[in-house]
Amino acid sequence: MTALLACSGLTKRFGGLVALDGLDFAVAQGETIGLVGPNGSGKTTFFNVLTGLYSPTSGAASLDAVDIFGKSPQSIGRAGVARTFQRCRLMLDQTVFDNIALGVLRAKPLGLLSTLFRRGRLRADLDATIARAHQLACRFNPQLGAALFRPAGDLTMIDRRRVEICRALIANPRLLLLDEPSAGMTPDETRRLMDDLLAFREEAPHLAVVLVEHEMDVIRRVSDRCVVLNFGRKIFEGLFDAMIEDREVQTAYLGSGQ
Amino acid sequence: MRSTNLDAAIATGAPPQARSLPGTAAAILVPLAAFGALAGLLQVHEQWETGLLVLAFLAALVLLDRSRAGRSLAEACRTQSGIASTSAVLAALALLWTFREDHYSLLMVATVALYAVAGVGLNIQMAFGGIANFAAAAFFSIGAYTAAVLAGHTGLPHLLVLAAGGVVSALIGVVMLLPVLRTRGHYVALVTIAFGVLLRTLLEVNDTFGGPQGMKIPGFAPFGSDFGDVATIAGFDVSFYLPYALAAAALFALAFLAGRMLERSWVGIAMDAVRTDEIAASAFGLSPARWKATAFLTGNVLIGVAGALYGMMNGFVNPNGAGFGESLIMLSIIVLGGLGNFWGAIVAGAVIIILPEKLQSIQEYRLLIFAVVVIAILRFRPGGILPRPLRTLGRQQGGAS
Amino acid sequence: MDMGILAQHLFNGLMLGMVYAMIAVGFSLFFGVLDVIKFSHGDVVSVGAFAALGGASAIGLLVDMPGLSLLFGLLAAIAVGGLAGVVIGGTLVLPLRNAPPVNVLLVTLMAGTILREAIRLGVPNGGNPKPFPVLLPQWQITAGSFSIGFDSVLILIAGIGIILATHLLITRTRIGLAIRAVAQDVDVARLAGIDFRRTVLGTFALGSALASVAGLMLGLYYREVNFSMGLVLGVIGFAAAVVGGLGSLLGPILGGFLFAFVQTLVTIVLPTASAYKDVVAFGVVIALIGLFPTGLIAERSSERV
Repeated sequence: MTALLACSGLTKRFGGLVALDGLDFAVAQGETIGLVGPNGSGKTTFFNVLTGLYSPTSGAASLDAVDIFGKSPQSIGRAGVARTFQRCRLMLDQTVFDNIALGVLRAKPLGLLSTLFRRGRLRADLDATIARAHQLACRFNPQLGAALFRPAGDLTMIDRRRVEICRALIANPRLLLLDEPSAGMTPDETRRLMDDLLAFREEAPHLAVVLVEHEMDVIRRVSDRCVVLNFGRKIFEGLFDAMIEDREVQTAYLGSGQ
Repeated sequence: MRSTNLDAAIATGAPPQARSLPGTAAAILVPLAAFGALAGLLQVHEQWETGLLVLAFLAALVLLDRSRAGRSLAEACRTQSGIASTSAVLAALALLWTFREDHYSLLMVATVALYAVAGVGLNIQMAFGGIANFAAAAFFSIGAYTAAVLAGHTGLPHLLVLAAGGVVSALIGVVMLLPVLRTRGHYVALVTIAFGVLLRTLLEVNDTFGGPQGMKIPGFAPFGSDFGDVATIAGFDVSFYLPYALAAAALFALAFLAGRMLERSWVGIAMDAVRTDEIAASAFGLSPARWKATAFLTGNVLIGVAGALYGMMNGFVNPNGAGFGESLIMLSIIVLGGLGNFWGAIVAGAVIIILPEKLQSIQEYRLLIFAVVVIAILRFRPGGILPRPLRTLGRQQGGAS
Repeated sequence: MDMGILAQHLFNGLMLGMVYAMIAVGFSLFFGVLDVIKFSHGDVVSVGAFAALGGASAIGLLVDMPGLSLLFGLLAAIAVGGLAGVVIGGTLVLPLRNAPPVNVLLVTLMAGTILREAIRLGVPNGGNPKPFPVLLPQWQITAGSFSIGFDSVLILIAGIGIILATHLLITRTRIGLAIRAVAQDVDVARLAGIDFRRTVLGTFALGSALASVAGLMLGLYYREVNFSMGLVLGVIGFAAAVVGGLGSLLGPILGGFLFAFVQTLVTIVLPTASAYKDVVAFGVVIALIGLFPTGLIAERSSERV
């Protein structure tokens, strides 16, 4: 199986703190990886480095043989990586559509002159994107599709998460990074969101997903493989059942016990 | 009736269809009423009349905001913005024609319109780009000084002089780009405040541009003949301020249109995204620096053009106009009007520029009253008189297509 | 240049730097606890100066004791200035702290306008500069061509003392601890039992009292006060605080002296072009912010993603 995303020796230092320590990580096309680890183990840092928000200290990373190591968020996004955030990062005063559209904005004509003088093309483009956003939103929740021009701040927590996922999906990414989608949601909402994801998974079989999550139930249901981080290092890689039996993983989560 | 419409629309996912007859009537009447009120304000002489008008204005505002009928009026103007804008343009033309011989009223209206043009620029900077520009008056004056130099000392056609006012204002803005882009929030505010104070002091102590006395500026003569010499139009006696007021209104219409088009496009979404959350925006491939720079420079172009025409209308420019106090007035206008709402700049401009002129007897207290009014509005209506509406896009646009 | 005049300039620069620093510290303190800029702060300087003038003049009418007048002037400045700060902070800044920053900036600018206009309209003949009474001994200290009033030296020493005392207050006392705790993390401070509102208002009182005393000092030094003196001092104080680093204590002090230093340097190096001193000083401010976007003494700022 050839890897879609391949990282080797990925390291990120903040001064003296080593947040990512020589991480090797690979995801194949269509694979879902559950990324777990205690708080501060480097999961979000990994996402931030992968998406170019932080510049890595050393190592290598490529997406389908395209080098994305230390590249700008723009070019990494173009290469096909999209993400959601742990803390909901929506523009709450803007409409749902504005938020979803952010996902495809970099591919749009953004010149001032073309914006002012090519209104026909712009309008057609807008309509097409609205239709696409509507379709995506409806897939998760028909009511969300109808609320496309409502402020995102009016939505429930789970719908906000859905908007974030729509925003990540609208650009047809090849790798989707989900940063704790269940944060701040009730178990029931979490379950519904998982159903959404599984359903979506079937429609987009080639999409690779890395899911950071604390809810083991979610990880068990959704992921093909699990990776465990601790202190920025990979301490486990394998199937879910093997993971929960692993001594080192248990120690990392429960403390050394001595 | 309307709300069932909306619910049905939401259920089907189609944009709301709000083109009802009463809605259309509202979209026509609200702008007419607003310009009628402006005409009334220009017309009144007695203090008590002005007071009554202010009370009526406040009452209308409360009704529009708090009553059901008022809210649906406002909603009608939003959903049928094409009709409302047309009505506003016709009402504005009627107003100007009514006051065609009245120097003073026309000067006031032209001033409000030009401040509103600058307001569109300032809105692009602040409401879209999130850059707090506390030196708007400085860039406005740069436009006027550019006009003074180019119109006074070269044979450049005056339409190009206006454009040059915008370009020079943007170019000088480029100097400030580095600190503006590298900083956020309060720090940007300080950079612009410092720039404003610096520019004003420099113009004052340096004699190249006339020192404290400033410079004379020739009248605006876009097609060969000076606006100042116009005395009749189509056989009617008119004030020479009429062509200025018309030009200012036309400039506002252009700025309004351009600003609206930018807002309702990918560019508008990009600017909102960068302003609201730089990190999310860059994670999705937008460059915050690019959009902040675009907002800042585009805004400066509009502010500079407005300043150039304002200078030519007044016939002179001096360093006082570039001061911090003036910048504050411009900023107050757009914040009071409602950040991101271009019509708001006209309404607030009328309140801030014309009203004090009509309250001469309390001239001594005008700054005090101005301050109290600004505080009251910001405290109790933080979105301004006309808060920015949600973005409507595509088929939603004006219900036109 | 003549050494005496040079020394005179330097002394003047020190004095200005101290006044700027006292004002800038307030900006920084307010920003620390509330993340807001309270722009009426400059006008609190004028309020302090006029309160001191009123207090001192009132005593002066009763008895001819400059020391007592000064004491009352000082108390009046602290009380009235502190009160102005607390009232503006409590009624305008605290309720708006979640509003967009520009709203707070504008509201406090307008509050400053109200203070300024209140002085202009409320004080008899308030629109004109007012002479400030002589309250300190008038001995001259002369060294060669350098001659300086003993009163000026006293003011400088007092100012430095006040700045040091503020530093100790913030770093060594319980009140200071509360202020620093709120500045670090409001929620944690609340959990630790710190009364948020009282701490914030206390900070406003402290910062405003500092600015008021700076106003009194300016009155004593220049022997004249003016209703609009606070406006430009506010801009300079804000500039000094930002350049030094908002939220820190040392930063604004550094920034204040730096601003005065640049002004003085221009006056000394280009005596014919001393009118350009503000142009250069604000130019330096813009350049420094471009180079050090979060101030010389960097503000804690890292956003969690």
